[in-house]
Parts: sequence; C-alpha cells; structure tokens
Amino acid sequence: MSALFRRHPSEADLALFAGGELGPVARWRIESHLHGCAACRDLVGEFFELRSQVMDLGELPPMDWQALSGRIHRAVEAGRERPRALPMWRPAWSAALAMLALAAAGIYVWQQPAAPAAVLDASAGGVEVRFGDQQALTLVNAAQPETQVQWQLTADTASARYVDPQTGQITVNNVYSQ
Amino acid sequence: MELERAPSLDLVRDREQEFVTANLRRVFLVIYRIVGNAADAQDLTQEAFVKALTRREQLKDEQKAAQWLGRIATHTAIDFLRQRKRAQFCELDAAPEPRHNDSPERLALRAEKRAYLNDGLRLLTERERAALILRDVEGLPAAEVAVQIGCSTATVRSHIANARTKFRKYMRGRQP
Amino acid sequence: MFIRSSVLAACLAAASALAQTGEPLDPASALRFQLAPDSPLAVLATNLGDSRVETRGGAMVLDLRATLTLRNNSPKSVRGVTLLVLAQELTAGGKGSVAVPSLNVAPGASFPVRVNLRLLRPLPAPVGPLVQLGLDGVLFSDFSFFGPNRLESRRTMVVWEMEAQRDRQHFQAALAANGPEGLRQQILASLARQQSRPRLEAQVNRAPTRALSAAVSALTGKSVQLAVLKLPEAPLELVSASSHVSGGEAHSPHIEYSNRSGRPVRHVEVGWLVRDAGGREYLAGSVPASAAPDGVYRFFQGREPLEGISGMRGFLSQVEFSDGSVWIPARRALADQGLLGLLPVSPEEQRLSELYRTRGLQALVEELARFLR
Repeated sequence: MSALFRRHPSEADLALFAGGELGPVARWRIESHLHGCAACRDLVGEFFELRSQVMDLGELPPMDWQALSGRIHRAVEAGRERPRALPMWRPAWSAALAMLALAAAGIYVWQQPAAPAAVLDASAGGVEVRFGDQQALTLVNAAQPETQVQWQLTADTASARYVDPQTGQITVNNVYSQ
Repeated sequence: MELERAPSLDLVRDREQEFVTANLRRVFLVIYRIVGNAADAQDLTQEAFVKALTRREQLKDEQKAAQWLGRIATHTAIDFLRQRKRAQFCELDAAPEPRHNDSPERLALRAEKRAYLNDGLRLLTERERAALILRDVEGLPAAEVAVQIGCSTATVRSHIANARTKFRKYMRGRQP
Repeated sequence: MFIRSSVLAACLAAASALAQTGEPLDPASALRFQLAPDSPLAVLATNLGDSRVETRGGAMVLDLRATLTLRNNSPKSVRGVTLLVLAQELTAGGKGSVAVPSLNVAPGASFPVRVNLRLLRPLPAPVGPLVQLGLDGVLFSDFSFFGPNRLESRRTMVVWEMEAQRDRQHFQAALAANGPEGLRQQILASLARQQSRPRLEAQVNRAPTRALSAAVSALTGKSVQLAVLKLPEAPLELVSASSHVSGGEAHSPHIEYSNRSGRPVRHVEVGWLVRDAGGREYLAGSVPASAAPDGVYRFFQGREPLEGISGMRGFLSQVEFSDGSVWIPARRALADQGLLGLLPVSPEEQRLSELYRTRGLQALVEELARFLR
C-alpha cells in the first residue's frame, strides 16, 4: 500500500464513511486505505451492521393514531383566530417559493433515501414480509415441529411449506414483497 | 405576480387534516425516540403540530412544510429534555405488540432487542441522539439533519460520528 | 407511563393471552371469491373460522384462518391448486397465495383448502370486500393447466408434480424390489434426512438504499465464485456463478449458463449452497438465474447471524423451456452429488412420509398402489 494511504483513518471518519457522509476526497482516501487494511474493513463492516440494527429503532409502539390526530385538531381549533370580516388578499408567492424549494431539494436528490426496504424473513416459525414498520406474517400452525416447516426465500417471495393438521394436506403459504 | 383570495375555513381544515395524516407517525417516531416514552411523545407531537399549524401559510408548499415541521418536532423534543433535565429515559412503556402465534420467547427476544437499543441511546447526548435518529432511522441527509437540529453540517457530522462510535462500543460490550 | 423491566416478564407472559384481539370478520362482506365462468373448480363453502381484523398503526391487519371447500367440476383429476389471496397491491404485505400440491382429487370430488395468512391493508378501510380470493391455477393429472397464472404457479406446480412422480417411483421401486420392509427402510431414511437436514434462517432485503451500501460494501466484502456441480443430462451448463459476500451476508448469485439443449429457455433456477466458517453446508435457496443480483441475503443459525461464509456451490435445479416443458434433476443425480441430505424433500415425499408417520406402513403401501392403477 502506498505510504500516502498507510495511516489508519480515525474511528470517527470510518463511522462517517459507512454512513456516506464524507466528501469525495476524504472518501477516496479511505477507500484507498481500505484496499490494503483488513482491520479497518472489519471496523467499517461493524458500522454497516450497526446502521442496520439502529433502523430497528424505527419500530413504533402501539398507538391510537386517530385519537392523537383528534387531540391535535381539537387543540388547533381551540387556538384558531376568529375569521376576519374582509377576505385576506395575499400575493401568490407560493409558485416562487416552490421553485426555490425544488432547487434546494435538487441539491439533495442524489442523497435522498429511497422508500423503506421490503425485508423478507423466513424461519421455521413462519415467513414474514416487513415494509418499513408494517408486517405481514403468514401463520404456520404453532403446533408444527420445526422440521415439518420448510421455507424458501427469494428477493420477492417468501414461502413456507407444512402439513396442515386440519386437512392433512401439504400446504404452501407465500407472501410477496411486490 | 397574481393576487389570490384567502382559502375558506373548510379548505383550511381539509389541508390541516391532510398535513397531520401525512406526517403524524413520522413526527411521533422522531420525538418518541428522542424523549423515550410514548406519553411525553404524544404531548410533544401535539405541541409540534399546533406550532406548525398556527403558521398556515407555510403549508402551501408540501415539501417545505414537512421539513419545517420536522425541525419544530426535533427542537421541541430536545428542548423538553433540556428543560426537564431528563438524561435518562425509560424504555418499553407499553407491552410489545402481540403477534399472532409469536411464542413468548420470540416476543421476549424482540423486546430484549428494543431494550438494549434503547439502553444504548442513553449514552448519547440529546443532540447526538437526535442526529442518529434523524440520519439512520429517518434517513435524512446530513445537511438536513443539521437544519433540523439547528447547527452546522460539520457539527452534525461530529454528532453522528460520536453517536455511532459510542453505540458501537456499547454493542461490543454487550456481546457475550 | 412506563413498565419497568422487572414487570416486563409478566407483560410478556400475558402477551400471548392478548393474541386474540380484533374483531371477527363478517362472512357476508369480508371475503369475495372470484372465479371465471368456465372455472373447473367451484366453491362449495367458505368457513371464516376465527379470522379476525384489527387495526395497528396506520394499517388494518387481516388475520385469515379460513377453510374453503372446493369441488372438481372437470373430467380430469386435479393434482395441484394455487389460490391468490389479495387484500391490496399498493404496498407490500397485501398479497399472498396458498398452494396445495400433491393432490389427487377425482372428477366430482370436493376437497378443503386452508387459508392461513395475515395480510395488511392501509387505512382508511375501503368500501367492498376486505379480501379477494381467486384461482391462479389448477394443474391436472395430464399436466394441463387452467388459470391466469399471474403468480407463475403453473411452473411451480409442474415442478412439484414432476418431483412427485419421480419420488413416488423411487418408493414404488423400493416396494417392488424389497417388499414392505424395503419401503419402510426408504421412508425411515427420508424421515431421518428431514430431521437432520441442516437449516439456515434468512432475511433478504431488496432495498434501493442498499445500492449505496452495496457499492461501498464492495470494499469490505469480496466476490466468491460458486463451485458448480454438474448434473448429468442437464439441458444447460452452468458456466460460472459468483456472489458478493460480506461477513454472513451475501448477494443473490450472478449466474451465467450455456444452453446446450437447442431449445429456447424461459426460466432457470439454481440451487445455492453456502458453507459456514466451520465447514457446515446449507441450502441457501433456489434462486432464479438473473443478470443482476436482486437481493441481499443475511443468514442466521437459530438467532445468531452466520459468522462468515467460507464457500459456495451451485447446481441447476430447474429449467422451464419456452414451450412450457420443464426439466428437474433426477433423484439419482442428486443422491450421487450428495445433495439429498441438503435439500428439502419434495411435497410428495413430505406427504408420503407424513402418511407413514401418522397411519403406518400399510396405509403407505395402499397409497402408492393407488397411483399404479
């Protein structure tokens, strides 16, 4: 490895590298170092793993959303001003502001995260597709011993095959992420 | 430049309803993860929306309004923690959602995972916590996180790096 | 309000008791079964059982535990059925299917199909039925097929039926050669394989955000060539297969093959085996051979992530030609390559071994004889 890239980056820089927050020069320097340094590669791998674990914090607690929404609207109504007697004329600056907002958004477009991932998960207990914080779970009878459930997973489909105790038939449940 | 008539109250209410529906869960999540319990998070979510909805003209541009609301939510949560000096918070203020045919072991595992992630958040300052949530859970770009928290991009990068480094050490320490 | 961790265990113990939440589904309005006018199957009865609907977050969770009774109105025996179960198609979690292979339903006979699925619909609740059921396909004993085939169920059911014939022949041959005891030995060997087959759990992620991570993780991972297992009489030759691996995570393999059959091919699947750091081998899946890897797989053993992947192998597991014909490996070819212990048994073998387990050797002998008539 060239002497230029021999020095290990700081842990903070590797943490930012894993999250894609570094500028192009810093990123290039670290990439060049990683080519020849397994220890730093392992550390970057840990930060990748950490990021996907932290995403689990996106799971919401049980909530009555309608009740909360209702509270908000009641609070807004309570604080609402009396409507004025005369109509309020305002310049339509919205188009100009929208243009500015779009231009600002354009700077971020290449960094914008895409929609939450569809994650398919298969185990002997069942198969599941999660999309963001929503889950769908195919039910495999809890009485099935593990070895009686066979699953298959592709990027789009999760399948679980088992003997249905009620019908005695081989039954295959599939869930689709798209 | 054209002049336009102010919208009717019914139209205003409709827009508010749409705005709340579109942003409620996202805002609640950010606040909940910063302050750590659902009851406070509900109150603060209400406060954030009321602040946002009193400036109705901001709602015309949907994207700008969502960003601006996020900023209000983050500030509201951070200010709450500072004022109440809540460096710690309690996790799992409700039993985990029961999933059909989930064994107690599986429920316990999910709850345990949430618990130890929340324990890790305790190690962070309010801003480090907010930066980590907004960047790695909400997926906002670093520059936007900086706007929402109210600091420079360089400072927010420092918060993010510190948060990840502390979290990584914490999770290594929890491994058997 | 919060619950301290000391109380958590009590809450969790009660959580399973909370499992029965939500409202029962109204049979009259919840389910709609749509069948074409010329459908060979008819719905005799729909029993929603304890199906329920509840609201969670911004979604309606439909917990279906229904039993349908269908009748074969065609003049041919039915070997397989696939039903589409649809709550909505706007977001993930709203679409599922139930397939029943290894059937042998005579003309005019009826049979049950259990629908045991949980599906999601975003709120607010729409007008109309919550769930629509439809027939994606029926496979008959002569390999003819009826149905819209939106889920590619024809190919899947043809593969199952070919495997069923292949594996029944194996057990029939054992019975013919060595009598009932010879059959017993083979079925016990099958049960032992099913019990001892090494198993992995997996998650696969097909997130666009992975494009960024994947590009950067290319620097932390490595490309691993799959060792290709050549099966005799395979119509295609796997030329190369590789997968990008990082720790216990792997992208679905990139596969190149050469078509020796001279016939145009519609679909190719490859059996994908992974070896962990300790040298133990597992079936990761049967993946379509596609130009671009479309999923990132994370593997687990029990609840622990797989620590490192030390090697991979691949073999041709199914080919569908453009004329609709299908190739699957012969049982002997799989046995010779040592794959029987790694692959799940076919649905028919699972059914036959379950029949032996629950009703004994004589019932198995009689069942095999039915297919010889």
